[in-house]
Amino acid sequence: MPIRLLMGNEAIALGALAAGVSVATGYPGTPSTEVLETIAKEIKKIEQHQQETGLRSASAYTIEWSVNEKAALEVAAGASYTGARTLVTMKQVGLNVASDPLMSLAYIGVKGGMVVLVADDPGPISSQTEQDTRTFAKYSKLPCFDPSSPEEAYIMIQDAFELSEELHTPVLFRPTTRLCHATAPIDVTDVWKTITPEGFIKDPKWVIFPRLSVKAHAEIEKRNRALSERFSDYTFNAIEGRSENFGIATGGVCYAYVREALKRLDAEWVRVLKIATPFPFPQTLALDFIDSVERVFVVEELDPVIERELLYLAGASGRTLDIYGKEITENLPASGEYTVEMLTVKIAAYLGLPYESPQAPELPPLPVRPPVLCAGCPHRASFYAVKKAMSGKKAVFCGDIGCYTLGNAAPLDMVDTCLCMGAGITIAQGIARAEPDTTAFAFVGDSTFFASGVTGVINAVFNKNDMVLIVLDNRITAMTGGQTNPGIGKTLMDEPTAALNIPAILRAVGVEPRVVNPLDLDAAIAAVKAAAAESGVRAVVFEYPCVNVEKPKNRATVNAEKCTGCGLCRREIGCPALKIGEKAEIDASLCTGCNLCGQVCPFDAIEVTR
Amino acid sequence: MNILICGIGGQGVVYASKILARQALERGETVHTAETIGMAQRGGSVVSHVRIGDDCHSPLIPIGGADVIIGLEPAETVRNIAYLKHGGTVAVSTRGIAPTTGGDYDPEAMLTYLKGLDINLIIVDAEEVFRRDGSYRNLNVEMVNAIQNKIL
Repeated sequence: MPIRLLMGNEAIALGALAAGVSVATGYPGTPSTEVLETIAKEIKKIEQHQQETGLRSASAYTIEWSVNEKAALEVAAGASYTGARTLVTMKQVGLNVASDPLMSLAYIGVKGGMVVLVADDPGPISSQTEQDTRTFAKYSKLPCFDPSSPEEAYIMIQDAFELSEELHTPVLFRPTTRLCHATAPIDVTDVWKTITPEGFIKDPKWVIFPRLSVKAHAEIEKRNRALSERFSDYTFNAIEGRSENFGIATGGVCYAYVREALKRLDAEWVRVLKIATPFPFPQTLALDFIDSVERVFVVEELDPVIERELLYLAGASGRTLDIYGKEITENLPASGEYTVEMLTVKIAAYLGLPYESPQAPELPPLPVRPPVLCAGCPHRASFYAVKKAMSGKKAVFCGDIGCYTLGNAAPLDMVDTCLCMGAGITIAQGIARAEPDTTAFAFVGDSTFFASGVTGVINAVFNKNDMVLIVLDNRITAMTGGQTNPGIGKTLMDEPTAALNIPAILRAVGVEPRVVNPLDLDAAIAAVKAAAAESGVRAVVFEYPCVNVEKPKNRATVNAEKCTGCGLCRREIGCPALKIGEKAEIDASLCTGCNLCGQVCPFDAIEVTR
Repeated sequence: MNILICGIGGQGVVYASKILARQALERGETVHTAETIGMAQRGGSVVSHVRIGDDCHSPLIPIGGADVIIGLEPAETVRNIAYLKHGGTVAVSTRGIAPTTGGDYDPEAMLTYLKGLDINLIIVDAEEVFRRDGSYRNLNVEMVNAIQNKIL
């Protein structure tokens, strides 16, 4: 078996394939995206080598970027009903979208093993919320695995599939960002399980009705009690160390942080309870741990899941134990990401060991580097056109999730609201209803439009709401690294498919859009002005591909004789390729020759070579 | 051995960490890496942590835990200097990259700051790479080589 250097997400993908997954679906979202991409890559490899080996057939696999997380989960559930093993991937906020089918699926159950991978993002580093999927596991009553390293994740995802299939229930698998994006050497197997689905067998058990739910609920509670007992013997739930006094309870990537901190403090004797299955909580194991120490420090990011379980267990069983953590004693922050340094300080204090934190060096003032729209990004031109068209008029600009959230930065300053996928379109309608003298704009990208934007447009038409919809169609799901979506005409597996036409969809729901190239500034401004002057649901579709899809070969240069060095170009559009010294300068390595700056320059000092 | 690589999105920070990790693996050593990827890629700071050895638990190098910092950009090197171990080594490129949002930035001041620290400092002339290759693209590989020749 070869040792491969794998990112946590790649390890999860290869583990799922080894477990016999044949249907994998998902919606892109950092930090989960690479799981499905890796599966697609592996299956494409099979396709290439199929004729040589004749062993596996790529056609036995269904791998798709679904239109959103709800669709992804439902497609996987259907396949699981037939006996196929399925994986669904998403980030934590995606679980909110998928929670409707998942809550019911918990009652209905599955036939083929089904794992729902939900990547949490303590920090949050690239998310809207810091929600904790371990808490969702308890709420949905679904078993949940919480790996502490890529190595462990590779094996644990296979355990998750076995458990799911045995108990006929979807299982949650919850890594966090630092695990998803950490790489480790992993001994991977070349042997993948082959599961031959039995097929869908018609049965009333697949139809959810209150009568079925009553029975299912009772069974789920009973199953989870038994599972708690079984998880107490699970390999990755463990007690380590020999102290009879000091204990630390932890799980997930925090386990790795705790081990690192204990090593630094030369305190590896501390008794550690490692929780790999936060739900159902391994109660018997935890009680053994409670009985073996006098005090416990609970170390976990996000919700106090382990802390509450230990408090509950100690209280319910009448045991005396000092529990320190984030909730009652507030020894650790209630939110945000933890670090080894922070934990070393806290654990040293808990153990009464001396530890001096390295002095933070005094730094000179450093340049700030917030993320910005790329040079040549068509979104910059679209935002600028709307800004120009609405200059001096009362307007509100509702943004959405994607690269274009970055339109909020100066100098564009064109995102007044951002909530969740697709929300900009409906928020705009609410604002316009309550504040009729404001022109309410909603910006939405192509992928978000398909994911959940189009329902908002239908709502606007149905309820005769007033709004201007701006579709930023850059022909890709850009923010997460360039995934396909229904507008592109290509699936995740590179197969040609129907390219859904956004203007045609808008027409079909009763909105006649203006379709414009945003890099034609005058035409773009005119289209927005015309739309703003009308009433009802209006739409402008700005079509231009993302510069990361096909990097244009054009270059803009500054004519030094004409340039006055006024800096207007930079101040107006904030393109990262523009630098202002005595004259304007254009960084040739960044410039795409989009010529937005050229159209802004009052002295015609910028020329584009094609 | 803990090596931290830092720079700006697009400079090849992650690629440099992959080179180091693969080499360690080929030498039969255990290696772990961790990257900041995602939103930070777009013109922002990028940091890669490479941890070689059996006794590394956390994917990220703790503060004060890096034996070596490979800094592809002067200000990013200074930003991450707290990660350097006492007596550690820093290889820094001379080429400053101004923030895409504008504002004053003097890379020389960063190099002067680094020269004033009690560290082993290797300064890599990025312009020499540019003169030779006509681009800065190979700067990441050049920096990895510079470090390997000196200490690995």
